Amino acid sequence: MSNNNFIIEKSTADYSYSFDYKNNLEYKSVDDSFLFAIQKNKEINVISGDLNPLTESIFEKLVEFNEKEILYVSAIENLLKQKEYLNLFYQASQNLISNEEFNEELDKNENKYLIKIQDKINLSHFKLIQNIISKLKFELSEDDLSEIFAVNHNAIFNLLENKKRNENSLR
Amino acid sequence: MKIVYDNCSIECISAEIISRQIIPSSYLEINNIGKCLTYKCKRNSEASILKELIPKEAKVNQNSYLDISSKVECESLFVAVCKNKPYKLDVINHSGRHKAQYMKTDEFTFAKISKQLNNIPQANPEIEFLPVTIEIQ
Repeated sequence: MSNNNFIIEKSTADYSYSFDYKNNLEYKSVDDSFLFAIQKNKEINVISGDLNPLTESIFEKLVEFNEKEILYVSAIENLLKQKEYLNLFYQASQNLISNEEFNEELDKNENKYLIKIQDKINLSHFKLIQNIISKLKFELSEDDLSEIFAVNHNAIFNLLENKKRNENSLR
Repeated sequence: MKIVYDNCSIECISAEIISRQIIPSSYLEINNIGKCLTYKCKRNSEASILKELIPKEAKVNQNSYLDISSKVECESLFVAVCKNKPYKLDVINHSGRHKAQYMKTDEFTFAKISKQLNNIPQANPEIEFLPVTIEIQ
């Protein structure tokens, strides 16, 4: 949508739109309104209207769903990288590949094995991670979380500490 | 010097790690450290500094212990070593009848207590983890 401008007047609350790229329309953002759009077969369907608690909570759920999916995918990828690395090491430890082959494989296909740790984590992601791990039957340490979600353990530690302080201050 | 509380850490270029179970974990790239391999050490774990950093400055945690012979002793230990392949582990006799796994590192090593020994009371106030910030020029 970023390459196309659409005009939808504020008075369009309770109306829905369906139009294609050829329409030269522009959306003007206004306070306390919502715009919901999906694109399918080069056609964009838009619903806009005045903001209310229902649309607000639907939007929040959508954002949460999307962010959780990103976290799930990242966690699966990181666990697969860990598995691939340990597989490679197993082959080296059984002398099925030489040290040189081990190093060469790691250098050539680094993205398959290396988990890049992010320095920062925002509070909303942290809450989602907490929500995800609360459903797991495994007890995870800060270090486990750091490796699975590729977040620096300092960041997780600081968030845990802030959370503890906030809880204590509320008592 | 013996260090026993949660989140306490050591940093050095060579360390001796002893634990009932040393498990290689993930190959990570961490700011300040670079590419490293992490290990999870479980049950009666310890790590002591054999060679100090040159220059003697912490890379990960401002509160890390850096002096030679500094030793962390705990239940669970997190270790990160700047080497892409796990060290070969030896089995040694340790603490009376119990055997333990042993490894000696020869690259930058960061070892942090992730769970202190149960019989030791929690530090009050808790030990702070102060990340080292390196400014990018």
